[in-house]
Amino acid sequence: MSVNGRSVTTRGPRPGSRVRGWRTDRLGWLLIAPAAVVIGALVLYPTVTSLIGSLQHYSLLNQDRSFAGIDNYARVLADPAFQRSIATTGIYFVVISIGVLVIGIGIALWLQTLKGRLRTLALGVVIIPWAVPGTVSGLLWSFIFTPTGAGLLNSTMSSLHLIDATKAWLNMPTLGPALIALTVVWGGTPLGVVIFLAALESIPHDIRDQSLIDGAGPARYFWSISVPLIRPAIAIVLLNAATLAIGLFDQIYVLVGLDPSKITISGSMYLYAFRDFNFGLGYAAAVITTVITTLIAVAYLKGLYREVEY
Amino acid sequence: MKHTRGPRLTAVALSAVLATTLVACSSPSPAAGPANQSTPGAIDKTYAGTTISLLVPSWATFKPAILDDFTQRTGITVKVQTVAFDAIHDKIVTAEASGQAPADVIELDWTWVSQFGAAGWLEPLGSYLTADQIQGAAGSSSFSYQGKQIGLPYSLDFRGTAYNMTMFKKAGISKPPTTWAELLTDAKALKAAGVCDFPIGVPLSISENTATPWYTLIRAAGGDVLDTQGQPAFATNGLGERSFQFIRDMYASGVIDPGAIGLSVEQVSQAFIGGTSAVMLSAYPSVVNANKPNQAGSNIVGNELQFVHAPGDKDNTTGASIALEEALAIPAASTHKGAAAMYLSWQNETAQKVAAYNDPDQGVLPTTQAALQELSKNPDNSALVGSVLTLFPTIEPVIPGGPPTWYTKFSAEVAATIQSVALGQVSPANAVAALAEKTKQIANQAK
Repeated sequence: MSVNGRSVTTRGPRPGSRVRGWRTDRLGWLLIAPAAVVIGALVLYPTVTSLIGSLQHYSLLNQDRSFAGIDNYARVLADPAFQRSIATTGIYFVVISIGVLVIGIGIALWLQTLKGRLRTLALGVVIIPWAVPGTVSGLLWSFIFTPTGAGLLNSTMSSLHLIDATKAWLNMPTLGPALIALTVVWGGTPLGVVIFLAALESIPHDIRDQSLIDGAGPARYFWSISVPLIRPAIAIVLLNAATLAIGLFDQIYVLVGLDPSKITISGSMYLYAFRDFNFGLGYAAAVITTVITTLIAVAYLKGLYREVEY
Repeated sequence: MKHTRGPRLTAVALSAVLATTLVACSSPSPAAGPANQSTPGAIDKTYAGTTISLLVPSWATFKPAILDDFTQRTGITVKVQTVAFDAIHDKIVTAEASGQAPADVIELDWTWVSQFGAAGWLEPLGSYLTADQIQGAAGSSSFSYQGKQIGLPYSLDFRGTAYNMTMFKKAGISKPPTTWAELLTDAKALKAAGVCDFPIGVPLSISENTATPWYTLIRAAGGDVLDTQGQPAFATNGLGERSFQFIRDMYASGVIDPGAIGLSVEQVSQAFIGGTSAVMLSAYPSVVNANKPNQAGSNIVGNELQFVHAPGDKDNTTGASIALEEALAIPAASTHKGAAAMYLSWQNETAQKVAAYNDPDQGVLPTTQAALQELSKNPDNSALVGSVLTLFPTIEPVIPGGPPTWYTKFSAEVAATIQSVALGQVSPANAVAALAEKTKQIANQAK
């Protein structure tokens, strides 16, 4: 892409790295060794443990650890409760992704218009929800969604004559999960704002100036220049939103307990392992969750992530 | 500026961590502690110099000044880890699954007995405590697994029904109802008289606390929820359907807050002591203390409260009051079992039981008759202790023989079914049939 003679390129992932000799890379290997050890302990070990456990009959209620083949996977995938948790996770995934993306970019664009201490102050305020732990966030929102007249949402809507009887908002089949997802959007958006703001700020000012000289309005500038150039940020924010949705547990637990119609696949995993004491099923659900998460991550990075050079 | 692809692998790796670390664990061999070196039930210096750890909720945590008495008498130091009740179960499971003792003395809820017992995680207490200590603790049979006592109850928790008679009298009703039909009639009268909008407080959210009122109703009417073989007795004794119909009638007639489908038991309790409901259908005994002076959060100080047997069905109003007790247990992997058992004996003494009740941060009712008698000497406690002693003979386990290993899954199905029935999404008859079928499925899957 070229904007008034300035070279701006977006391109797909590199096809591969240049092969280097061991000697040349020795320092590099040494430098990454600590990280490799940590990742090996925190990622590879639990991953391998989960894979092995998922192929065993592994209940805490007995000593049977015999080979189960794919039986645990078949049971998990055939379990209506797990299927329902996948569907519910889908609702969380859509609402959280859209919410964090749209609201995050919107706030970042607004912050860009502020200058000096005002921007610092506004950014500080925007970041506050990010610092609130999930359980505390759940408690805060529970005061809003309380299903009696004491709930803030019910009392406000009643006083505005928008409802004639109090509603159990979180018990509504689709609206309930969507509202829970909104509480996650509230806590997850600040990180998106920071990432988007950094990406927007990194676009050289002269590109904007030149596009304005060429007659591009704010909308055209946003869609034709800003969005392509912040695609890496969009990919990262969406990936973060996906992991928030799939791993969502705290807020749900505080707001509605372990209501099977509200839990995510992470919640199902918890129930298999800690309620039913069946770690074999828990491991299988964990591996399935890992596969789903990985597929989403790869799809985002393949489809959205582009290197950007100015 | 150049954005690189570095975060890609990291992101994928981190997602794998998120997904897998929840249930990842190792399984080293459990540690075995020494056998009891002291006389069962003794409190002496046999284990002087030992330090034991406790993993208990706040209401089982003695103040340091009280614990000093134990240390002085035994030479044993106690380190207490006070944890929110909801988090204790998972801490125990995580530690035990990796072969470690979560502490030397741990909390044991009645719903955990069969799972922890089947897993072999808890030390039988028979050689550490006397028969009098075990049998003298009300509800101790709830903590027996396959004939072995694995927990000593410390908190007398059971369910009756609490009534605000001051509110009842405003509607011209002078005595508490004894049947479900009477309760419904009275609640409608309270609503019609404008005493309160939603007279009956009962949680209907999908949680264990929603299943409890249903158990309360069935057992108070003389029936069983599950029989000793784990079969769905509620489906054959007729009480399952009639109790479901009663719940549906309460909800449909507007005597329960429609928001109850999202309320926790704590919120229902707050409504009762806040004076916005007149009945707590499945109440704990100490709720009657809400009428005492200086009770934080209570709007019913000075009201006449009664904690009595829960209403029964028309044919039987004198069934059981369900025990929902908590106990202390000793992990089999503990390396200080003898010292831990000495702590169990010490906290079971009347002086400590009375101290635990009088401490506002604990407030647990004692499980022994001796401690209850001691408490009754204080006129401030007369109403509560009087109610407790009246219902004492009716206290029985929720499920005869203890809950099956699949109990928690069953109770989740019960709660979901109750909510569906209340909302009119399924008829009581169909709900009973479906729940019975589901119960059998869950039991078969657990085999």
